[in-house]
Amino acid sequence: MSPVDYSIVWGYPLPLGGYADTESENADTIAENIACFETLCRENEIEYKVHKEEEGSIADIIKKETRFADLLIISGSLFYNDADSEEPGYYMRHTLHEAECPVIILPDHYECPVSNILAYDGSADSVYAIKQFAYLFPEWCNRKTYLVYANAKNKDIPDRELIEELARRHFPYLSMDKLEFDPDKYFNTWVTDKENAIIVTGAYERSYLSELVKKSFIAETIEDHRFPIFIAHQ
Amino acid sequence: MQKILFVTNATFINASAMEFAAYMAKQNHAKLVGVFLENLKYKPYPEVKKVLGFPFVEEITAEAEENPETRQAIENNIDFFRNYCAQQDIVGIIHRDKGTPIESVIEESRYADLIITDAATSFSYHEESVPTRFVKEMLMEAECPVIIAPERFEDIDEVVLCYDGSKSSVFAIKLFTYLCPSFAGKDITLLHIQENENDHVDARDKVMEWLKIHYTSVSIQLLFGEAGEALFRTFLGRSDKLLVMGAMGRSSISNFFRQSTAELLLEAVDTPVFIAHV
Repeated sequence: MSPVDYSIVWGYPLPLGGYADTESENADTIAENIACFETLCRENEIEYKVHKEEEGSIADIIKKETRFADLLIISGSLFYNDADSEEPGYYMRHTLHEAECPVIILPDHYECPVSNILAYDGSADSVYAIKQFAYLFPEWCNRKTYLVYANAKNKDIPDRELIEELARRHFPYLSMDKLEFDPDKYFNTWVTDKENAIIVTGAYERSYLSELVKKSFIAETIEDHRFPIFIAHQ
Repeated sequence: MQKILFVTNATFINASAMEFAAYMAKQNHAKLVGVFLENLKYKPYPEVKKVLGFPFVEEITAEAEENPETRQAIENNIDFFRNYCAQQDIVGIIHRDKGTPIESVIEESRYADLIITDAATSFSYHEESVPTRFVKEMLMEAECPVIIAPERFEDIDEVVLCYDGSKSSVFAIKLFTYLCPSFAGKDITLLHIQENENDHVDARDKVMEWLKIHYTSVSIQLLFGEAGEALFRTFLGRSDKLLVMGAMGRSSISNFFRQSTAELLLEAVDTPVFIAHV
């Protein structure tokens, strides 16, 4: 129900958020990238603005810009392509950690999602992400939505009545799925059967994803299935 | 916004808070969940009993519900809630939570978009100052924002967004904006609070850039120094405004408001206050 519907930015891969190393990257490349961004925005009649941040560390810039933004969209290839760095995935982790608004990690090749997959584990983070997604993408709430609880030990969905009451109100076409398998091993197989979706999840490498689906889950899902991932944390 | 919790003591319902909750539900086409809390941990009046001549105080008991007067009061309050919702044409449902009230409400808050309550909501059998301990704990722990309902209320004409550059103040502004799009057309004031006039501008251009995307009519008001008191005077008796602020007790805004001022604001001012914490 937000007055700005962010689904409009979909379908236009915005060249935002590249971790250009300004010192080694040549100024022409940066100018070219900005021009490319501007052209795409104009062609698609999107109001735009370029913020050129030249001072301060990347962490500070991310923090400041995301504090005053509704959503950050970043390229998924950064997830594994910062090979220069001594610690693979460092930038991505850092960005997700510092961001003060939700983040969408976009695969390089994707199709526009037609459904939503809400990864729920009963934690505050997973519910926070579901709520933020609903607030930012009211239009997408009317799509087929799978609320998924994966647990190999066949436990019941935590607080089932409460989460259902909340989710059904936001997502009218909701199905609640309890998956009785180890999400670590089989989540990707399960996802294969689904139509193009966006995956909504709580903080990366804090609770759900670290313990339950591990780091490889995001990378694999983005790579194999070309699904975008919406991540939010408090 | 789809799911609003109206949090009340099951044995006592504040009719003006109920009226405000119904207004918010209607404005935003949300479902209103009446959370009727019963404190079963303690009896309303602990009794000193004697067993074999030794006095002891009986604490944990579930007798409260069995007390016919209490039961009747709860039934009446639930009927009041139901009838009021039906009258106002909003979807109202009842959650009866028995146990420790603060724990129940925190669990419920995870699965809700907003809480509306009365600053005097209490489960203590002693008289308490306002806001009560229960309300303060809720403001700090709730996993969704809370609106403290005003004592008197007619309509909201203006939304005042408190901003001090902190993460928490911006978080509250964003959340309010997402939850209440129906207020997008109202007059919006960004109340920029600075400790003193020499402070840097605190990214005001960035917050204004964001606000202008979301709202049509935004003005800025600056407050310096003892702003808490100034704010208090500005809002005294203004039930036509809604105040949006970052959390108490966790952020810089709270230091700014100094606890006594924030409490004064909640106690004596008829302004509804929306509070969220990161």
